[in-house]
Amino acid sequence: MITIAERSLPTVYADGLSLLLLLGLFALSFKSRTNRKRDLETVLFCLLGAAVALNAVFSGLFYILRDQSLGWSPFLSRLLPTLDELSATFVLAVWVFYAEYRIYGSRQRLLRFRYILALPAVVVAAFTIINLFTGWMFAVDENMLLHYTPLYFILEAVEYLYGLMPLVDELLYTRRFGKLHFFSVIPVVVPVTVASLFTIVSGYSLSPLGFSIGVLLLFLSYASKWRFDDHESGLYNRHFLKFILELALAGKIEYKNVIIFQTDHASKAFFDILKTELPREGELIRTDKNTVMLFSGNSTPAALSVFSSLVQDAADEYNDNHPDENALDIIVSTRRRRKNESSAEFVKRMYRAAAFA
Amino acid sequence: MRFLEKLSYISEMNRLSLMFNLAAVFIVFGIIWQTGIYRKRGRLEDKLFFSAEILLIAMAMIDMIGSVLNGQGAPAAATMNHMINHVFFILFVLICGLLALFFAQRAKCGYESNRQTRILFMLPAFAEIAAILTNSFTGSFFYIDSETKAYTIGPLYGLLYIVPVFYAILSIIMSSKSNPGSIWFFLLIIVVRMLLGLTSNGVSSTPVCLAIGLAYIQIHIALEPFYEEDEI
Repeated sequence: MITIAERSLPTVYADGLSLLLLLGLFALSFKSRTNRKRDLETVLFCLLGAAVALNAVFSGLFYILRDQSLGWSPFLSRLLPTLDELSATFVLAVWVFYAEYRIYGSRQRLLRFRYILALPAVVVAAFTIINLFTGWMFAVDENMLLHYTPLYFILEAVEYLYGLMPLVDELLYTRRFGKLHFFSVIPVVVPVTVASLFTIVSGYSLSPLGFSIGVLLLFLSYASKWRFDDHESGLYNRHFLKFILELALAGKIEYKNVIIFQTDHASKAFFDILKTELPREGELIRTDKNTVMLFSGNSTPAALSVFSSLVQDAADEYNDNHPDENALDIIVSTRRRRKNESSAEFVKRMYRAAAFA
Repeated sequence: MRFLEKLSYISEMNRLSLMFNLAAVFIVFGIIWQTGIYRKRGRLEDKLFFSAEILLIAMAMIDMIGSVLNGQGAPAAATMNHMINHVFFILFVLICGLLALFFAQRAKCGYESNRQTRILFMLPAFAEIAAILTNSFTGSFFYIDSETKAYTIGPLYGLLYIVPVFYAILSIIMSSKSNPGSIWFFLLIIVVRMLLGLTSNGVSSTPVCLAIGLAYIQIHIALEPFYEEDEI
């Protein structure tokens, strides 16, 4: 018969709740078929969920097994806390990669910075594995109580800073390009940080609960974005145009210009050019198979002309580099808000133009 | 260093209640943050959901205070704990009513159409609130034990769940028209809450279960098609 001492109950219940949360998300992802999407974002998200579940299992197992009088050995008693620490470090690493990809949406950028992003996690993981044999960071006594050394707190501090890296990333992004739609690291970073601080001061292992709340909220932002995603191009879909119209009618959003890009055969190259050449401040919406609209807030006529020529130049360059393929021909046209026309009326006009194109 | 161990007068179960309530607060704050863009549309259903979220944060926060005060010897602490539990159950029934109204609004089944029908819809909640207020004199739902100073359930405690269960059944019926999958969330919330109630003596898990339920409902809504194709 398994008995759990009262001192372990809060941790065991917190880990149980974490697993329950993740199980619910797992069921939801199957129901919604989001798991059938095979892009990097989905892969990273699934990896994050799995890592948090693993972390909760190792943490819960340690707190359950330590009350079972199974005998004590320095190595074996350190094994579960080590696996717990390693899985927590892995969670942080996947979180940092996921947030980086979600903020910038660039696979190339992620690959370029992959070693820098992974370095803190590798260092902490290496120390944790060494600790299994040496007890430099933490040890478990005969009463199965964990005792930490100063090195542990130094590495914990490194982990905190590591987990907060996406916050800096988001701040930098927001400063340069404006607020991100459907994503913010704050609802994830805050519960994770608070749970980790509680773990240190209380002695209960609450980090998995903090992580799973973070994953729950990430899934909410992921799902919110998912329905506005055009999965083929990686741009927003027509539903987002309707959503923009609703916001404009409520007076919450303002647009002055729209640039329309049309091509005969929409290809990956066409979408890649638009994504790389156009500013991030605007909203790129694929309104039909071969048409993409850029909704821009306050670009000047000169800026609009620059955007148009940037796209045309990139298309020319692509055609020069790929003479064997069909020529990429992009027709660019601009629509501006008329005098005495409200932003809502302008968006409505564009919405109708897209609907009856 | 072990901060909570210094607060030794708080039992392990009340500490667990504290953690669960804190988790509920973070979950609901997160939902509010992540769904801010939808509220900009100013739809009634968004406002109803937002009201339920705010009430849930209040419910979790006062329950945290209740967890700290539970079992305290001071008479003032016992009185405050008693009051807090009244507010807790009033908020609970209001949240259930608001969520049922939210589902009625989503299902477009007519209850939401004007102020009168909305008030009619909330009548069971108001009736239960009146009943809860009488508990101050009778102690039939719950009371603070004069010896242990701990929150104790009374003989009619089970009646407190009649109106919330009524609203849950109503929500299931209404959402089954437009969104059959959401039935599972209600059942999941109820089953988890019952399991926690059975296995953990005296742990307050209602706010965290409700918070998880709200998150799942929002995710489920987010995964639905946003507009009908012919609308676009």
